[in-house]
Amino acid sequence: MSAQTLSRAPVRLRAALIVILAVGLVLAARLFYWQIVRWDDIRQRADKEQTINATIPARRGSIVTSDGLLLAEDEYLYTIVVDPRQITNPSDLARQLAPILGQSADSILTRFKTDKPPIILASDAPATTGEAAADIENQTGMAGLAVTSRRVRVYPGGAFAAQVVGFVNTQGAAANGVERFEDANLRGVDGSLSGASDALHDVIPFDPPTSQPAVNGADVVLTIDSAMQRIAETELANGIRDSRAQSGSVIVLDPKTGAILALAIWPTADLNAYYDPGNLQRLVDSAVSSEYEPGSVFKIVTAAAALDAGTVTPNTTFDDTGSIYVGGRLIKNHDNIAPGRVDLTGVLQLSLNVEAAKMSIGLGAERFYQYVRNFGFGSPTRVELADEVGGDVKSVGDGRWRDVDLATNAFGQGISVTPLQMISAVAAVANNGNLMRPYIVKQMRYANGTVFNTTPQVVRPVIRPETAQTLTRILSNSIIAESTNKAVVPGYRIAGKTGTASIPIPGGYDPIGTIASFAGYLPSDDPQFVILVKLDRPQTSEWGSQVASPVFAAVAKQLVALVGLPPDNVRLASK
Amino acid sequence: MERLSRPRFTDFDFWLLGATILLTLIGVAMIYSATACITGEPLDLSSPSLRQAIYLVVGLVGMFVLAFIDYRVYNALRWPIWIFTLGILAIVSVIGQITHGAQRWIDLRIFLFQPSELSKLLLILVVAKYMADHEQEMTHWRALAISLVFVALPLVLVYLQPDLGTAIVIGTTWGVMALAAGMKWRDVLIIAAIGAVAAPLIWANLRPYQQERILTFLDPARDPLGAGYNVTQARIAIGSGGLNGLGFCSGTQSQLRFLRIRQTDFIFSVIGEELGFVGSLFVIALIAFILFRIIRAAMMARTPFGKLIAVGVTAMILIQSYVNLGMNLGLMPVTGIPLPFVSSGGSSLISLLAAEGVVQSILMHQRGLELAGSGKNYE
Repeated sequence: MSAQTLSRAPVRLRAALIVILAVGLVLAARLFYWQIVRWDDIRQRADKEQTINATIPARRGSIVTSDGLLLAEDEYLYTIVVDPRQITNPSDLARQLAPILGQSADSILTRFKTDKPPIILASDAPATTGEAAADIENQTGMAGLAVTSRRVRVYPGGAFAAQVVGFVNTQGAAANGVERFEDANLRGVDGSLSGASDALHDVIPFDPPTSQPAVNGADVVLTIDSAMQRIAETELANGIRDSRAQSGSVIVLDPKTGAILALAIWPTADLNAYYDPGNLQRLVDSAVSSEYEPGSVFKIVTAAAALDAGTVTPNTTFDDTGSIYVGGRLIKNHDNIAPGRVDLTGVLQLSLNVEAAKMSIGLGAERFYQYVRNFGFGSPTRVELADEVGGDVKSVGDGRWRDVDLATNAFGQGISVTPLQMISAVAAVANNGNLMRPYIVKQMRYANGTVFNTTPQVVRPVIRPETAQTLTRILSNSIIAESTNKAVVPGYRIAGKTGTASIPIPGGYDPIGTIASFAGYLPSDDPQFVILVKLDRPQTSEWGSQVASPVFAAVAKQLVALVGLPPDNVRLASK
Repeated sequence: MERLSRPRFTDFDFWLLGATILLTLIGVAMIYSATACITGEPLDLSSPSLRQAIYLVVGLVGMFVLAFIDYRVYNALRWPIWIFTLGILAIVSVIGQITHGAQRWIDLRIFLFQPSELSKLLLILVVAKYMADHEQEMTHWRALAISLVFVALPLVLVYLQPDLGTAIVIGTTWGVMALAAGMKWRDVLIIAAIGAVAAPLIWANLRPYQQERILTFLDPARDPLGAGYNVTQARIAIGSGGLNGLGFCSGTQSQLRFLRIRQTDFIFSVIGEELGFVGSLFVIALIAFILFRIIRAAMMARTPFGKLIAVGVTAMILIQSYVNLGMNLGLMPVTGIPLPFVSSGGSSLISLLAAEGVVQSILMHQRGLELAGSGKNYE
């Protein structure tokens, strides 16, 4: 037995030699294939892996109000991931992470043992947590712990001045408002880094890396005053509530400079939730990107033109019969009134369409439209807000213009403007006839320390200063003449005009619903604020005088209180 | 009890010793390249390369001691050895250090002792003893099954650590020893058939990461940055070595840390990258040479016990080498099997040198048998 089995063994031992040889040859063949046959392309693969071309992202600039309220900024959120299989001392790591994450070391250790890796210990954690975890990562080297960050745009104000600010989506694309208009400045210039890299994707000092540092984006300071913006937003919301209007806007402008002090849009939405389907439309800045027919507020422009051209004087007497035919079309006053003999103050107080039409006809199309365009209508204001449109002013011979347009345009019908254009034109009257470019970016603070301040810019003198002062007095008197005027601000003389406009729809005008508005400024002797209130489709009354004027008064009262502007009698007595 | 004999120093295999020292020193150098070269830290007692050199010295001392002890003393120690093996494996699953999700180490203060490494050698002694005693019966099922029981219990403990790689090495070593002891080819086929039937059952009981490794082996591109990462990096490292390699401490994949666990499981990838085809082939040839020398010892052994021990040691080194090199070369799934003599790790190196010590003992005590042998057990 023994002999039999042992005699077999040497054969099998010799077979073992062959097995060892065969194994060696298989391994050698594989080595030969990788190191000799495939050497070249594997080598290239290694080179590719060892080269890093990284982008150094630039920080996007912040957006703040003129008084320093933060409206938009970049923030980093951190994700902390652990793979316990690669960790040499899990309990030590758990002990280090516990205070950072606010969890007990035991519960973290339990997760290490039971959860399926990779274990996400924290996602979108704030910077303090993330940076502390990153310190541990750097101490312990690469294995097992990974801290990654992502940059997000946050809007601390939420819905505050939302349409002015605009937003940046998760892909980094800017939409609306200042975010979009100043995107290039805010964005900055990404840097780049290329060089040899190790597996940690750190650039290693084998070769000096070539790098182009990132230039962070500029911080933008708005002309918006947070207190005035809050007043505008609050009173707009109140006005919407009281009038049950569909939407609306309130703009406050400094007539002397064109600085936009407040710009409120309703409805509005939280910028941090821009992606909610209902919010996208609400975040559009309709003050610059949508047009409306201004109605009688536009009579300010018509009256200014007529006064400046001298075709009408403050003493001109109008004989209003309640209607006029122009180009075969009948033009009537609102409510079919026919007051008879009135002066210019009466025309504006009673808002007579017929007399406005007579004024534009008296000027003639060429002169009238020259004034209209000089007031800025038909072209964008060049404000620093995205998606601005230029309005729609027809002109003689453009194929769309009819004779009747000269008459209807005089009282703001058949002409489309943006709210910002309208308030800028009114501001020009308040500013001695000089049209200012409205602006919302007060200051740009570049990363290199350069500070750029926006200089107020006169677009053009539109009417003579005397004309402007005369018209202001007339507008002011037209309001005083009406004892029940809801725009009145006790203690301050205001100048202004209501508007109630039909809403154009394809093929004509919507028989129901109006856009009620009021544009005015105060104090009339030395205007500090121009305010436009616009309410779309109010339900309690269709008239600007009923729903928009009270909002104007409410905003104006709070503005003068805010800046401490003394009432006219106090102020003028001290002069 | 068998009679013991005096060692004959002239039968000491200096070729085996020389090749082993040379291979281990290459390992020490490459561990240095894979660690100290990268971090730039000065060598101290915690440096893997310096520790490996110390383990070599300790292991060589152990080897000489074992070489001079007549291996036949283990004949009488079968049961204590087996119970000791089970004991250390059981202890590790109770108080062992958990690292990388496995419980394989016992902290001995000065170094982390990995019982499964030593258990491989101890089980070879136990199994060799049983098979030698029941040599004539190895063609029968009963003896085969009993010898398997000696292996199966520790194997389960190792598998539960979990250390699938070591479990495979132990199981396969047993198979090779059974073959050498006279197991019938028919039985080999039957075991293979049982294995094939059991495979789906085993697969279902594998840990997810073990399944992942096998799937990754079958298709490394499956998850290139996850489980396939190391496999892909090993290929890039070895492939970019070319004929002559990029030079000591100059392998870019290794030095730039693309290779992970590079001083242990993937040390051969560092060799491939830095020493090239020539160096890698030399390492494989050295391992083959060592195996030839141990087979030679098996052939020269005059007792079935000695023969089977040598066969077992050969099988252990061969299987580990093939599994590790195969993993580095993308021919085998990723398992945590170190490359014998080369990978950083004291438990493995000292156990291997001890195994060689036993082999040297077999060589040095063969002639004595001719004088002292009664002929009772031997031809």
